[in-house]
Amino acid sequence: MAAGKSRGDTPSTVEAIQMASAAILGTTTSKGHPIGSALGCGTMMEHNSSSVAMGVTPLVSEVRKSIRERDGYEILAIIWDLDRASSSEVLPEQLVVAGGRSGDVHVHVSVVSWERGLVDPFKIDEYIHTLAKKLADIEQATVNNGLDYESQGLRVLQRFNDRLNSVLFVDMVDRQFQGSWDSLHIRSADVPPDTEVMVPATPDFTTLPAAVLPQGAVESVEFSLPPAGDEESALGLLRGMVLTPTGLHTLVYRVPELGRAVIGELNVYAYSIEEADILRTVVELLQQQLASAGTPLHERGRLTSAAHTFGDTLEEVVGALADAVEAHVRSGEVLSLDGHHQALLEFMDMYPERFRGPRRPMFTSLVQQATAALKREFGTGVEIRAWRLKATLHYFVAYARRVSEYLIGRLAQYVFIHSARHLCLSVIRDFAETEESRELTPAARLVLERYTRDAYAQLNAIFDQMSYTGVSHESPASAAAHVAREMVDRVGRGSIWDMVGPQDLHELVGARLQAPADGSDSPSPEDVAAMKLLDYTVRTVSEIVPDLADSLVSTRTIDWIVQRSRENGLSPLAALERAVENAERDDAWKQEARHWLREFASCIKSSVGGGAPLSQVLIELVRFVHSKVRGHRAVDTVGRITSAYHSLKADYDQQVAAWEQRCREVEAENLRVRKHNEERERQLSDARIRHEVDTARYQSALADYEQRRAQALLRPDESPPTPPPPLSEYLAPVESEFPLRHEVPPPPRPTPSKDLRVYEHLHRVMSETIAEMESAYREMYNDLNGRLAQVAGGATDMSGTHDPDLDGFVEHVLDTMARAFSRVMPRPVAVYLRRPERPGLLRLVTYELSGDTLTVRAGNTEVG
Amino acid sequence: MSRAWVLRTRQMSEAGKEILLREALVNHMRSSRDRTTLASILGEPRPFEDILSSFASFYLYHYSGIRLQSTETAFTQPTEGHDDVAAEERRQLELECRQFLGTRLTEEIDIARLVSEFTVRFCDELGNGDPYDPDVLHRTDELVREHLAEIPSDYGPIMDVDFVVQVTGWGDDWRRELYERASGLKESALSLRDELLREHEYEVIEVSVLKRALKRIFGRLEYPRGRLLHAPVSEEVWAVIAKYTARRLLVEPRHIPVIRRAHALRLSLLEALQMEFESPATLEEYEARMARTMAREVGSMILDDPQHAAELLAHLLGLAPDTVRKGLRQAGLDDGEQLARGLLEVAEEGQVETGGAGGPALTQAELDQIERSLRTLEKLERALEKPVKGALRARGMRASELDKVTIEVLTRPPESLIGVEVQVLEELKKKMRVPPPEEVVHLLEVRRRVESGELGAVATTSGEMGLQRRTKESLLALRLDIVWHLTTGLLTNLTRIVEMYIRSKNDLLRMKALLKSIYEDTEPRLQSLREEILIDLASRRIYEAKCVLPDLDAPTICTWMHARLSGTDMDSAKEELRRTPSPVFEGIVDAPLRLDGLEFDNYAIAYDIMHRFLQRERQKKMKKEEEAAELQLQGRAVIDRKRRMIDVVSWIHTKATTAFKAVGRVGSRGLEWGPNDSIKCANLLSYYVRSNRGRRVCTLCGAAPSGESCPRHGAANMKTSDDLDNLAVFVMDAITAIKRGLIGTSAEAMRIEEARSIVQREIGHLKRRGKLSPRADLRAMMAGDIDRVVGPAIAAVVGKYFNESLRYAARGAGIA
Repeated sequence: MAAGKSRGDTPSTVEAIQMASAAILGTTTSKGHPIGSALGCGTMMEHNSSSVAMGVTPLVSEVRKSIRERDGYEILAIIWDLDRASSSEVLPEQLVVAGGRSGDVHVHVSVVSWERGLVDPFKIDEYIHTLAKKLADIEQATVNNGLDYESQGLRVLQRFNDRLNSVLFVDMVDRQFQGSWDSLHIRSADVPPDTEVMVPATPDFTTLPAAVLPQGAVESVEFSLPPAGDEESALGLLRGMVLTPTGLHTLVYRVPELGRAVIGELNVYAYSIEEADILRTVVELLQQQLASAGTPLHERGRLTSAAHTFGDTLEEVVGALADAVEAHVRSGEVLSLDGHHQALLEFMDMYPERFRGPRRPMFTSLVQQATAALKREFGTGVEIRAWRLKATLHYFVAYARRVSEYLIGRLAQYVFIHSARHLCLSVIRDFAETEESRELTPAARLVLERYTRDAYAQLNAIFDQMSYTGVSHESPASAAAHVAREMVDRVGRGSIWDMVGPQDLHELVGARLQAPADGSDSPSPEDVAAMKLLDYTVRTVSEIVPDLADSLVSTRTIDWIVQRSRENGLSPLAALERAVENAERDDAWKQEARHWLREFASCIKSSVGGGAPLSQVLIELVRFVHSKVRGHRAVDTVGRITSAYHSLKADYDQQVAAWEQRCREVEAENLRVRKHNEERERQLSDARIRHEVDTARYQSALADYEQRRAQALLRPDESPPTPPPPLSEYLAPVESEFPLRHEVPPPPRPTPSKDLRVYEHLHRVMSETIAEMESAYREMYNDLNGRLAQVAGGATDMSGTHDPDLDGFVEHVLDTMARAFSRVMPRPVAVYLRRPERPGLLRLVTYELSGDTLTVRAGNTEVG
Repeated sequence: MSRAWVLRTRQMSEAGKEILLREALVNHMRSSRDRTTLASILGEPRPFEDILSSFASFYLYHYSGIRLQSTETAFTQPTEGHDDVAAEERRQLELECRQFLGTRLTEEIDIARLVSEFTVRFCDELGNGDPYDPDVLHRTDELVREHLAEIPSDYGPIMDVDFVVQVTGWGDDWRRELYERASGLKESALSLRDELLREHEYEVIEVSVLKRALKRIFGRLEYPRGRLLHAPVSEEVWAVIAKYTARRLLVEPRHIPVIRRAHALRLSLLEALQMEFESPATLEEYEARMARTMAREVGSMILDDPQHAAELLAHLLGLAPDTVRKGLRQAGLDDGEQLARGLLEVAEEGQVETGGAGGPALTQAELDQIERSLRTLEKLERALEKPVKGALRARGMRASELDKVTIEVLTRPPESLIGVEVQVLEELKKKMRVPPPEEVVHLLEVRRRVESGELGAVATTSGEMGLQRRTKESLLALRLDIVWHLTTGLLTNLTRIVEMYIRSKNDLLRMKALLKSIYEDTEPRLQSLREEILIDLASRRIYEAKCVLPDLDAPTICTWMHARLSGTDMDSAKEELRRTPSPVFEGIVDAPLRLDGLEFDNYAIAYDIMHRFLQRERQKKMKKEEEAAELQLQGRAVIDRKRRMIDVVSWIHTKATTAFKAVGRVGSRGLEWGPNDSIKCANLLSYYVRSNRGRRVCTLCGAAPSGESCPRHGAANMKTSDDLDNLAVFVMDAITAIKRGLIGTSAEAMRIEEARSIVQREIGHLKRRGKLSPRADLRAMMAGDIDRVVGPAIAAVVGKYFNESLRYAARGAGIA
């Protein structure tokens, strides 16, 4: 048999293009049911159409809904470029998500195209509107026909969704949506930005596909009005901005994530069933062969040579398969699929010399998979002429050839990475075990859990990044060292607040409060109160603040203020106050709002002063509100409690100081009283002494007199001595001169308020928890880094430690080679927004990545 | 006999292409051939309205090939039933047309009247205005709106649009533009999709004019929902309408009185026409009655101002003045006064003529007859005087005698002729057909009557008479022109309906091209894509139908659409839609699509209809393919049967016998065994070997008897043959046949051993040369081996033997 010229076609560009393109059509029916279909990227996607679409549809719908509800914008389109390391392979280059509606039926499509600019947002927009109308029409028809909505109507809709999606896909591949000279062109240079947000962003490899994602809090938010604009146009512009913090958050954080999520969902099934089947079969054979030959996997030399032998055999067998397919396709036989299977196997008997040794079982397995592919394509139980199998079989052979080309290279890589990874994993595991064996507080345990998780994630990320950038190493040991160095850099570089969320903090502190230390059954009233306070604060931070911020700068409020201040001549602040009072929210919300308004009032007085134009005030308001909200993180809760505690504490301290002052004053007064009283005592005792002296003198005079009278020695004129006046007469002048004065008692010490006590308690418990976490964190950081540094220093012995298994090999290859999106990195480029009530006004949001900063700019432009 | 148009438009002077269907329809109505057919169909006189809708159905059926019963069923009918079927289909079509037309015809006349009223009023009020003066424009706008408000509320919403189209002159402009474009080069190299979805505006001119108007008024294509005054039409659009109206009417101030008069006249003519519309008549009667009235009125109107006859006619009939002037000049009627008098005259005459009263008045046919008679006589006389007598004179006959011979001679029976007369007659017969004497008598009698003035003021020679008659004919034709041109302006709605049918037919043709690729591509995605294109097309057509007939509801429109796509009438289409499960719910629920309650432009409707069509086409195609496959199988069976009867060696036998016999006469050239023979032989051989595998042969003589024993060697030497045996038998038979052809039946047959050795030798060669694998199984050779390797080798041996024999035979015949 001559090895003919046409040995089965290699996959053509057309097929490559189809592999690198995908279309997902997601519909939300008027009753809110989601429907979806996915197509492209190999046969697997088609077979799992609805699960892929169901994964993508809610993600997209949610972002669209969030923008629509908060800021009244419809997303016309979002565009991501798919970056990748350079290669000649046809890989997808752009992801476009676009949407539209007809009545209550919302439709959106996610299109992945193999070339940039293949999908023009405005061209596809028209198309989507017809799609939406068609689906809405079908829905109406099912309702009008009285079909049961859930059991029948949705199935009809699903069928049409699938159908229209396949049409969309073909149209896309056919370049029907490509922008042309007659389509609308908007260059970002023509759109002056009025909003600019900068946020740190780094490539995130922790999950595949990787993406550049904003990390951490916003660095700066700036809003600007056009420099040379009059008041009217400034207000018009203000009304067109995406102003709410949630809206901006969606644009800055969620849009980049959405791209990654959509690509990720697509990637799960973005390969051909044939390729996966061939891969599994071949790897199984390889495993068997290595096992039977007793090749130890960790001995690289022997493994490599065994693998190369296997690879050569595989290539031969694939060649033979190509010949067999060619011969069979030309035989013109009409057989059932089992018959074709048999006929292909008979090829081995015709050329026994080509099928010596392991080639026979290899060929048999491949033919088996090929038959499976045929059965998928044609169904069973039909008689088919051989040439009709041509396309499917050629396709199969092409995949087999592809697998045989990359398999061995991948194997070496896999074994390599596997051992390096194994080493690093064991380091982390050892670390975790050591830490766990110690006595840990719940807080420390949480930190450990997060820390280990982060370490694992970073480890995977580093490996994925290595395979993305194509870094290669001499030996597993050096690879491990490289990884360890990277890990030292990355793991735990931030603060604990990157790991601990508000919910964690809530739970940890809550647990502490509810399990009191003194062993009593129920928590003390103090604990209960603190718990309540914690709940309240968490709620304020997580619910009230964002909602308040959104409401204050929502387009509706802005419009309201503008209208009021024009018609009723209210000042912006008064209008704002009235808006707050009229809002249908609970008291906690209003209280918070009033608090903000007071702050804003003082802030605006200092920055712009009175009499500033309305637009100026409003832009200040926007700035103010944005400065109040910087994402929702645990540290906000802590900060809020700490600051509330400190302010209460300061109040109390002030009270105490006042009390002390008063005490001091009282004491001074008392001192004088005491002196006076002492004087009085002294005077009184003087009087008493004088009285006593006088009395004694009288006594002796009287005795003398009596004696003399008895003795009659008395002179006649002599009268008995006069007795001294009673004591009271002595005392009375003193009493009148120095009346007794009483000391003023010192005022009681002010007691701390209940609030303060609760805050203090909560603050203490919280600080303890945080301190525990921080110390645990430091220890773990030092511990793990020490261990990693050892690995990084190359001090680990790699040989003979570990026998890598091939179980994960198939998945590894699927991830790195077969899945079409594993090697791309979505990066947002632009979002087109439009208000349904003003179709002529377009808002363009652009993304620019420079260094580690993602800059998001937004501006308005008039079209049409 | 059809009377030609005096005032032709471009469409009317063009044959074959019917682009401006409105004019074409009228042209058909005026043609006597169509008229006769129609009359035979219609039978008794009917109201003119009915006649128009029957004419539409007649046109659709006979000229556009619209059928309401799919051709398959039609063919199964017995031939004699064809007429009944046709009549029934036409009746159905007529009903459909009438249903769609409704009261539109009368409404249209009223709108035409309103247009004239508007024009008269405009001329009265603003006749001296400047079309760029804002006040004039403002007043024009007011006038337009005032007149729009006069349209009764129960009239179709399309009437408002028609009014606007007429007063602004958009209709005329667009018709002219579309006509020119349709006559020009067509875009080509479009993709199938673009070609299908292209507007094809010139296909349906009236519909396109309407669509353009809707686009201009509403800013985009939107079907009219009610009175235009209440519709959301922007002020700019009203201003545009006023601008166009004013500029059209005020383009030449001196024409204002003419325009005014023309429209005043038009008003009275329309009144007369409306009366006519309701009374039962035939086309002829309508035409004749209208013609009288109009000729009189138009004639007297022209007489008032003969200078502007052409302009008056132009404005009255909605034609370009140049067209009118040219037409009149060509007919020799360019003098206004003469024209007016002529018209008045023919008006009176027409009355007498059709009244059928005796007197000198002659019918048209009689006049024709007379002219023909005169012309025949003149021809005879000319021939007699010039060539015949000249030739005879040249032969030396005496001139004096010849001069005596006149046309009178021909009145006598030929046998009574004498001398020179006979010769003259003979000579004359050579030149032309000579009528029998009785006829000549009659001809002379006619001439006598003409010359005596017995027949009224007819000219005495055919030439004069021709001229006179042409002028008169032109006047008569002009009279009819006026009738028909006026009628043309009133057929817009009818034309639109006819156009819709034609459009559906053209769409079907275009769709067929795409259908082919739908079926042939196995990729389901591409199939869906193409189906979707067709569904989009259906949606567009449904929308178009809604624009033309805005008062139709969704069920009616899609019933019509479905009827068009399936080539059936609306009743059965409706029934099918109502009864059979809809493709929209296919595989989920078996239920027809409930149409009422859906908007007409619902995608589900288009999908439903288009899918039914596609399914039907697919079934049709499958049936055809099955039939084709069946035929192929039968054909194959026939071939097999034939093959089985082939005695492969008989070809060689025949060739040998004929060649060796012929070689004596023609030489060996062309008789040799050539490469083609080798191929043929190899094929036969391979067939022989394959089909004879396993038969019983005698090993001693190679005979393959039908029984179990060889007639010569008995049953003992019989064996089951393998390929080698059969090869040997073939070689033996072939060479024996050649021998016998050369020598005669007495020649000794080749022995089987010899044949075997030849085969062995050849196979040995082949193996040595590596053509045949040493391991090839010679008892059951591979088909390829026999076909490509062994067969040719053996054929070469046979061929060589044949050629040698041929040379031998040639030598024997002494040629080589």
